[in-house]
Amino acid sequence: MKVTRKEFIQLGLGSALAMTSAGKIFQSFAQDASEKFAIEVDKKFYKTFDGTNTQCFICPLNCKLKTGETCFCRTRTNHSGKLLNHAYDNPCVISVDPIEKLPLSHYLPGKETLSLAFGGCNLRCLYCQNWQQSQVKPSDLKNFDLSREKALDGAKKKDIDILACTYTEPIAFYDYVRDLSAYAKEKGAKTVCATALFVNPDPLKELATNVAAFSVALKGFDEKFYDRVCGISLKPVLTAIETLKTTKSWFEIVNLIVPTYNDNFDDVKAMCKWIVKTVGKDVPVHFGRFVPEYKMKDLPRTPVQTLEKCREIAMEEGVRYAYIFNVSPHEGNNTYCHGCKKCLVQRLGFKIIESNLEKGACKFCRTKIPGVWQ
Amino acid sequence: MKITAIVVACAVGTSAFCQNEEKDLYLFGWYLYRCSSANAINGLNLSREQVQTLRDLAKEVQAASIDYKHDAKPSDEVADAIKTFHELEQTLIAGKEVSAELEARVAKARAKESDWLKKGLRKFVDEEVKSGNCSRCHGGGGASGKTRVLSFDAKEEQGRAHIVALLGKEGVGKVALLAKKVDALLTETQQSALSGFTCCLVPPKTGSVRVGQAAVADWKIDLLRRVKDVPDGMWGKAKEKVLDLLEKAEGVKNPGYTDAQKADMRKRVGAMLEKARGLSDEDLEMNKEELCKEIGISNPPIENEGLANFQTAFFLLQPCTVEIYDAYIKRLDKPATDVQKKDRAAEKPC
Repeated sequence: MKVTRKEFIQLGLGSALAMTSAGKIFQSFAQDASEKFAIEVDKKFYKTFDGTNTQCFICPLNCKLKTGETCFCRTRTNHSGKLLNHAYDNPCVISVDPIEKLPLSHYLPGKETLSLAFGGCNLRCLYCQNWQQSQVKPSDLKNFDLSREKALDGAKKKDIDILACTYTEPIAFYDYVRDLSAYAKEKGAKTVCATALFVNPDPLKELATNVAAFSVALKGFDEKFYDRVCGISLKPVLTAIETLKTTKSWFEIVNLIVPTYNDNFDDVKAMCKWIVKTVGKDVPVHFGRFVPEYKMKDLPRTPVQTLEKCREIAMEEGVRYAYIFNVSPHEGNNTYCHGCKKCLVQRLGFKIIESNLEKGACKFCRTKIPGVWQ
Repeated sequence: MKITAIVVACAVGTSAFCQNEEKDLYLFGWYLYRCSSANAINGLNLSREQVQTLRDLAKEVQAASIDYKHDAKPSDEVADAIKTFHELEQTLIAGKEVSAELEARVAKARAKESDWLKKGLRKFVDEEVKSGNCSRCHGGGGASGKTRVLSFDAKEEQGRAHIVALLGKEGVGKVALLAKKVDALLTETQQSALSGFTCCLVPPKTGSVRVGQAAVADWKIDLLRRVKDVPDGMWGKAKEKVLDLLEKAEGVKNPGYTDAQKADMRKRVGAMLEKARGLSDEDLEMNKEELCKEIGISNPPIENEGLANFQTAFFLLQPCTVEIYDAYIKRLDKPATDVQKKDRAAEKPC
């Protein structure tokens, strides 16, 4: 019988799988329906009014809900005046990844993370790479059962001491991130997040007390872009970045360049000016290559020359560490000393090929390099 | 031309041998190497200067190489497969993404090629190797006499024979002479990207590195998840079926897959599947990449530096690469994007 690998996958294992799959689906629904995977949102961040209505204050949408209604993020639901988050202990993605994948290039490079994601998101990006998980409710997905204790245990068994909340949007599963990061810190581990940072300042400050590093997606520098492509507003994101700067967490900025949408070099220049002025020249900035996906499949991938130009603009505006992301091999993946310009960290994809850092400093000229290296 | 003697283990039994037609072998070889070179060149993110220099070096190799026959009409048996490889080649040279539909047809064409090759592989008889042409390995139905079985690990000799058939002795010599120049031209990360590179038809579709094979194929992860769901009572038969299919898949990639290697794979992968079934869903997710590494034979980087440089130079300079570089330069010269901005009001996020 001539069957290729793909045909085998498509054929599957027939009725055996159908039987067990059906069982698992019912089991999954039963779990989600039972509030086993739900937690009340911190009372600091929601209020009940007019009897049983609630208003959530985690993100700038400040959703007002009647009983039975769910927030824009699809994770928080009003249960007769009590706001519950249904993305708790039930991730839909568990994976081991290099930390560079977030991306984070100046935070414990070369380390692995245990990555977790939950269904839901408070954005609606037309190009989302993980839309099958982010644009649905947690209960629509096949989820795992992973408390923060189990997550940390599993990570430690693999000699991993960094937990990453990524793939979808950690603000949508805020309560789990808050509790996970507090627990991890208590046990000597670290938590990092990849987020669009569409979040109110107070919840962000609370999160940042225990989340060690953030990879912040600053998707564009134009309200129209944010409205058309992401379904939200830019201004609160800029406010959140300013807030993050006041905390002790390390952060890096990621800007995905979408052809014809946010590849205007004047906007890139304005964004870099703002970054340098507001959060400083030491914050690394990554320019990422867009890949056609979800509702933007008709666009081409970002030309490499466009990313190179963006990086050049960033460095001209004073950004010390500007990177190209999602294209490799490329010199834009490497870290260069802002003092002597020599190559400090050479990367192929997420892999480190060579490092010339010694205790967080350039081994050639001893310039201290911003970041967390040990 | 004296050619190193090579013995190839037959992947199938001693019956049903017939010679592989030389013109078809040349066509398959042409497309395999051409697609692999396009894969490598397109995935390296070469600068304009690098492309122009490599193109000049490729022209030197072309001038020194034999006139490789690649325009014959293929035999009926393999015509469809050759047609699919041609379509893949044109797609890769144009720098376009390989669609899922084309990828599926390429997989079928590869399986067809593999089955056809197996029919022609013969047990090698020392005294018969004089002519040095393809039939010494692909001649089918060999005469009786002393035989040796080539271990699969002697890919180096096999590769050398194929490259000599492609370029001729002088062409191979030219590539060897230029290997150090090519190495100096590439950045360290580009060299690293090519260090484990071997023939590869379809480049990885995800991830930032688009050269060679994907790190862990999605289908392997999917397989592990499905294997966990099989009820205990059905597992014995299901396991054998899975191993049969994996053996078949490996045989497609490596027509000379030996019985010893098959047995080793079944033992190794069988143990891994049992382990996977014993894990919780959560533990499987945490360990899936490691478990998947047991599936398939990976290509480790070549340790001999001279050989590694030669292999890199071969894929970047073999005669067909001039056309690939021409297409690459055309794409560099194209405006950054000529896509019209659509009115996306209808798609505005709700």
